[in-house]
Amino acid sequence: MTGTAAHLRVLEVAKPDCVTEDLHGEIVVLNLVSGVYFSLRNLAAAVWRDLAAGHSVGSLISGISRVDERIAVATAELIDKFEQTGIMRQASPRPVETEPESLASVRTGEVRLTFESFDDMKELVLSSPVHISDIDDQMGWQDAART
Amino acid sequence: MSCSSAASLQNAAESVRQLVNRVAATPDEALSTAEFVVADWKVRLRSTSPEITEIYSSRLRSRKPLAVHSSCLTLNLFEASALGWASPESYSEWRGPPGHFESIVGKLGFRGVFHKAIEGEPGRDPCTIFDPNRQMGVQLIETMNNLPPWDVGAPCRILLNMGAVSRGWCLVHAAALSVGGDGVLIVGPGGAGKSGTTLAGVSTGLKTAGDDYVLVCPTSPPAALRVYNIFKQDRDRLSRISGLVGATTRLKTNWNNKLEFDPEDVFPECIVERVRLHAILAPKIAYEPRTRLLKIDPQWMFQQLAPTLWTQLPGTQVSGFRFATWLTRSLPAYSVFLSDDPAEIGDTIGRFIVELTS
Repeated sequence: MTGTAAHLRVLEVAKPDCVTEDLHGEIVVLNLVSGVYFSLRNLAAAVWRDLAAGHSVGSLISGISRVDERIAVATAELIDKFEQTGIMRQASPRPVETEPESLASVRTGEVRLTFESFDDMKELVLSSPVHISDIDDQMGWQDAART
Repeated sequence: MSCSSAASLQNAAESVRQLVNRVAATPDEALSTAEFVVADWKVRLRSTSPEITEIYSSRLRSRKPLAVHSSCLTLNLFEASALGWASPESYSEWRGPPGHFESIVGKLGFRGVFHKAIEGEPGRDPCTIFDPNRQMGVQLIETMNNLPPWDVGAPCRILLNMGAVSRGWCLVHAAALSVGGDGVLIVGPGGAGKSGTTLAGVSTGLKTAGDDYVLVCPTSPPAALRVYNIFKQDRDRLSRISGLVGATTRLKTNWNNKLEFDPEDVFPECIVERVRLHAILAPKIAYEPRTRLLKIDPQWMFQQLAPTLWTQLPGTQVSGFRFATWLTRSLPAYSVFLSDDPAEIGDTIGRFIVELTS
């Protein structure tokens, strides 16, 4: 991919095929199509939040590369995995109002791109229909979890 | 989606709406009814079967009710044959590929479950629909004789969970033990030792909010609320606890070869309505010389909890997944390697709870 294309590449969470939770800094993502779920922690969670907020791939990678070239390469590979596993997809550019959290994390020395996948529920997820209204539920504990 | 399939979905949704309205309009005089408190819900149970009303309400009714804070939850357990209504099986438009019925009720903002009947056999599972706006649930079945045998062991389980999810709670396949209102949630698949650990606990003076299902609400700390006044245990495990053999001799075993009994018949006042949760335990029958607890990763505990929520509570799988994520990241998790001595198990869990909260 050219530098310009990467800079323009914007991703979004692949809803409604995926459901996500952001709990105490950890992102848990369930891909309802593959039945695989993922746990993202540390810098990987920050990168996810930045992408979900609309930061372009290029802006994140170029910002991180100015601090640590090796982490930038690893971050680019991680972002590719987000797409390959179907939990994020290409999206149209959209305005972003926040500073990238991942860049601030790298500056403070956070370099752990913790990304784990689990397929122990795959058969269950693929064998049972999921209630569409269930996916968009806003549950009461979510506010408690954020505070 | 084609125009014709959209139209047929719309027609199917309309028949669901008409059924739910018909249920709501059915007067109490045509039914047997009971009112009681479960958690902080006032529940109105309406059924075509006086026997079901009596058994289910006795198993659900709080004996020390908490203050009622939420709107009334109405649960309708109707037999089509008793009312002269069409059987749920006769609604051909409700049948389709996996997820079809869920899509139909979803168009109305409802939740629902209607399992595919086995070809050539009568439908055994009831058609279940929940309207969160009216806080009203319907369980329609041709005749109560078709109810699956496990239904009576956890009455209205699916409807209660749909009601719980509508307010951000979850009915969790778990037990709870406590000392002075503080305690632990005990999770694990069938046969892991949940019920045995709970029974061991109450036999040594601990309190419980249930040995199979509890409602978990997102307070800080999370709380487990009692749903059922019933324990399930096999005769062999019961025989190892003093006083239980004689008290349960007259009982017959259920479909799963377990005895169902009211624990307060043997251990008076052992049931509490609310337990403040401080940890999640996953027991394992290990025949250790002494019961020991080992702190474990939340992800491992999630793998114990989430699959049971997914399989046991249809219609709310994703909510259950998310709830399990939150709960297992909110409380410390321990694996419990059980000894073979119920008194020792109960003492160890009791000491653990006291240490955890002191």
